Amino acid sequence: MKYLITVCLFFASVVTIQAQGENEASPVRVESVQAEFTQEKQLPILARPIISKGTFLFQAPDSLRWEYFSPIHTVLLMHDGHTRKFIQRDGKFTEEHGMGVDSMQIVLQEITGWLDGEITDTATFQVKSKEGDTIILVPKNEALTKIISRIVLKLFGTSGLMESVTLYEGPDSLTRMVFSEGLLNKKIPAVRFIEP
Amino acid sequence: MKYLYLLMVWFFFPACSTMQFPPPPELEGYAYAYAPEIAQKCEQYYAHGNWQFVHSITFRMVNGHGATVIGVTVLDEKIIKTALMGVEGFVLFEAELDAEKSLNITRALPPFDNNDFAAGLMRDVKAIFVLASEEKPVTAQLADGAFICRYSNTKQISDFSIQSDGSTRIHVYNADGNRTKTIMADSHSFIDGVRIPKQIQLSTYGLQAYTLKLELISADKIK
Repeated sequence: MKYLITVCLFFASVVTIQAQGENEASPVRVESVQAEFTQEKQLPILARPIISKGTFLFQAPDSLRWEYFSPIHTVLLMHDGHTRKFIQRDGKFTEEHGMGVDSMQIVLQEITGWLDGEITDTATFQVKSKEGDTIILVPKNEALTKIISRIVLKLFGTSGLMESVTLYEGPDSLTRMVFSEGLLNKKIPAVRFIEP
Repeated sequence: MKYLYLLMVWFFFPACSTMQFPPPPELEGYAYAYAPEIAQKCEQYYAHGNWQFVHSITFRMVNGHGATVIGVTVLDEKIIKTALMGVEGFVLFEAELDAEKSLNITRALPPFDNNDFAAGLMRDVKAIFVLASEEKPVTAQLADGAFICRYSNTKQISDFSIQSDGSTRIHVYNADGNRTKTIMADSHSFIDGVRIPKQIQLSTYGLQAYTLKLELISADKIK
């Protein structure tokens, strides 16, 4: 479960990777990120991939809203040191308990690290290669390697936004998120990180 | 996190204790026999061939706690494949059960990395998606109009019934006649000639009771 949360939040964090700007030596600090995403899940047993859609909001230093509209409407909120997850049933949001909040907060530290301008090694992942707009990360921890073999980040030019993130769980098992409609440094009302 | 472990405990002791429910209804008072047309009605609710189902699955325990995951079930002739993943897509558990009832777990993250959990999960998946027996059932039409197909062996009785509103019920009884599991399904629609329910609820009874609510996301016949 810890790894699940780690990976989930890794997804959340990579889209907010620091805008590098034209000059990589003087990165521009990201205050906020908003983006829509389409997620494709592929598994060996799946004849057809599972497609999910949602939105992602981040406000520095540590506020996050990660919302799936389909196939299940869920909202993950992080704000002011608190992490909560809601799921919509019969038109109403219900809070889900039992998430590994401690793990989430660990990953939040990684987010903060990236926002400081580093797409380099973190406590959990290290850069294996970087070619053009593509960065490949691998876990540092051997145990985690058995669960996540690698993560491929594709940058959207020099805009500071991610084009896609692909997480490989095995040779034929992957989750790919493709981002669109990205907005940087546009003020997001705090209530978006507090209420589902 | 602790709730997930509690879920595991629930699966470790599947229906080992039961509540007091009426025993399986006596069918002798009704049109008690093998009626092919009733058996055929029952079979219409089960997918044959190769299918892929995706559901949202909400676990709910008697204390109200639970969690929601996405469940994938693939019926591949005589093989049942299943996977559980978080809403975010990360695979927690993946296994398959072949015709010889041999269970092969291909991925299981803590706390799902336990054979008892896997066996309990596959039992539930099988009870939901696979006809209880390929033997001819005892069939009847009850006084309330419901059609019933009874599949029996030495270990259990499985009563599949079609209610007058089109919903279905499966009551599973152990060898002592105690009800151990109920599966209710409704809001069916025809997909490739099979009545596929939009909602399924599986309930077990006793101290380790749990409820699984399945909401259909997609059902595809694999050509």
